[in-house]
Amino acid sequence: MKQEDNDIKEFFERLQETDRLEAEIPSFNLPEAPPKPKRSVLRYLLPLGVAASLLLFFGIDWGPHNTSIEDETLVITMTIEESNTTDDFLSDETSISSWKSPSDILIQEFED
Amino acid sequence: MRKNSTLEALLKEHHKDAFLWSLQCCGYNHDDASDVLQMVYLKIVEGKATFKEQSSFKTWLFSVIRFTAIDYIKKQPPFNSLELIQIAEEPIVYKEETNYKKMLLQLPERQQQILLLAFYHHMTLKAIAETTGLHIGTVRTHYERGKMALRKLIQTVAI
Repeated sequence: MKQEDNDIKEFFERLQETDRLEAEIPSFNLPEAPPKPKRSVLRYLLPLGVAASLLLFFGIDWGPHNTSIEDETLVITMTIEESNTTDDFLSDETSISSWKSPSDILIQEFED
Repeated sequence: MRKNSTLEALLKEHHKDAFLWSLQCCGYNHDDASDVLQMVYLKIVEGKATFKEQSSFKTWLFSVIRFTAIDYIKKQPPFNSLELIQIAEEPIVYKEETNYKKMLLQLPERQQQILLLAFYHHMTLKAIAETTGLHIGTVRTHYERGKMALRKLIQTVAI
C-alpha cells in the first residue's frame, strides 16, 4: 500500500471502529455434523440378487457336463487342386449334330 | 479427532472476522450474515468444504463465505410478500456509521469487496485473488479503480 492511501486507510479504520461498536457478533457455535445414514444389508444383497437372477435367466448350466464338441477333435481339411489343362472347359455332352444312333453300326456293316 | 479440534480452534480464532466478512458480503444484513456463516460451518463440518492448505486458512475461509453468500443471495426471493413485511420504526443508527457504509455501498460490488479485503481485512492482492477467484491483474485493476472512486466520495463528503 502506498503512502497516498492514507485517506483510504483512515476511512476503513473508522468503518472498523463503527463495526466494533455496532456489529453484534453472534457467539461461536459450530453445528454438529449429522450422523451418516447406516447402510442396510439389503443395500448389498439387492445387487447380488439381481446378478444371480440374471445368471439363472440366461441359462448358465451349473450341472454335470455332457459330452460336448469341446471334448472331441474335429478336423476339416479342404484341398483345392488346380489344373493347368483346359479340360474343364470342354463339354463331354453329345450335341445333336454329332449324335449317332445305337444301330448305326448295322448300317456300316450293310455298306460293306 | 485431533484434526477436528484443530479445525474448530482455527474457526473460533477467525469467527469475528468471518462474521464481519459475511456481513459485508450480505450487504450488512445481520440475519443473512448469521445464516451464511452457519451454512459455511455446516459445509466444513460435513466435509463439503475442505481446507487443502493451498492458501492461508483465512483466505480459504473467506472464499467459502463469499461463494456461500453469493448462492444464498441468489436463492432469496427478489421481493417479500406484503404479509412478511413488518412496519417498524427506523432503527437509531449513528450518522457517521451510516455514512461510511452508504459511501462504500455506492461503489460497484467487486470494488467494495476488494477494498474491504485489502484495507479492512489486511489481505494482500494475491490472497484477494485467491479469495475472489479472480486473476491478480483483474484484482489490481479493481483495487486501483475502487480507490479512485472512494477517494472522490471522501472528498465530496469533506466538502
